[in-house]
Amino acid sequence: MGDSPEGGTPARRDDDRAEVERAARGDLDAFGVLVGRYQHRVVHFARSLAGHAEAEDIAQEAFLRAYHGLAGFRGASTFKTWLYRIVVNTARTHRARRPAEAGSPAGGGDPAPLIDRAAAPGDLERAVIDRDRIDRALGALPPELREAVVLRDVEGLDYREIAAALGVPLGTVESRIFRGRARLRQVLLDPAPAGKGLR
Amino acid sequence: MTRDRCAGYEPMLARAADGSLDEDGRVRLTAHLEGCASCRAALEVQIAMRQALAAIPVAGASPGFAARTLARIDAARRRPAWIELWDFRRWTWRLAPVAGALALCAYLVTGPVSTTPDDAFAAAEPLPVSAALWSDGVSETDVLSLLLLAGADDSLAGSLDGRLQ
Repeated sequence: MGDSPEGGTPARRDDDRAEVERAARGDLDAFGVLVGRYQHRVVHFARSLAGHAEAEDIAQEAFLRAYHGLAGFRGASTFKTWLYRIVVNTARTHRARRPAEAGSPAGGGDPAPLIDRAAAPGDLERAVIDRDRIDRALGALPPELREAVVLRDVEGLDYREIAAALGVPLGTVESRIFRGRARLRQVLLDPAPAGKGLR
Repeated sequence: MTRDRCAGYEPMLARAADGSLDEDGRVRLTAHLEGCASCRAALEVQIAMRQALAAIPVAGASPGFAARTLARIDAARRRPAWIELWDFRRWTWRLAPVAGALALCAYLVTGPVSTTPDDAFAAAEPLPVSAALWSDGVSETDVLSLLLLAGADDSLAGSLDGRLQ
């Protein structure tokens, strides 16, 4: 399949290297730069994985873990990929703790029914409704598919970065992204639980 | 899309939808799509979902999130080291192997503790005959023997040993 065309050189330059090295030596201001740089993406990603209510808790805990784990960060991946991996693991921990009936990231319950586009009042409202619909549909996906799809299509990580963040082979990432998008489409078309899957 | 024919094209379809398929893959997939309507439909789904997700506006952190996060990190850094000991969850599980090793050593040193009745009886202090008459460990036959054969001040153990020999 080949490397991803976007930034596919083997030795990936890490734009965060300077701040990471200083933060690893205890420089909290340097870590603050990293928090400022990634806070919105991390919270957004956490929201996609676990819902609005827990997003900032998960994001904050992920940054805490990152700070305390900096001494062990060897630079095998970029700091960004490493941080996303921490967010994934933190979200999984939160998911394991909460009761099963807490439901999907969008707050539980069935995905919202399709909105008649002809009746949509305007662009802003349509954007909000579409966002809510997609959030609910994402919530109906199995966690492993949701993680892969969000990392690729929302967060923009390339396939190698996603493989590193999730700790799975490249082929598994490709398969999960394919199945995740296909399942997402199924859910959007049919709000009832998609039990059969694509195949 | 049939499992056997088209399963191998799924990774290429996923990459084609987001522009990350290399030239070789593009050539192969294009050739396949010319003859496979289901894969063409699958590719449309991949592209549509990719576009829908990419269009989601980023709803990021609330105001003050970075400051709150750094404050929490700073507070944890300033916490005295001895307080960490009170967070027993951090270290008690690490002591489990030590506890296991100590238990094993204790067992090896002391050996198994026997609780058989004969050993317990042998380890017991001999009872005076007068006390033995009221003891639960003495049978009625032995009591009769004691009354007939033993003096009042003899120990029970000595009396019974003599009787049995």
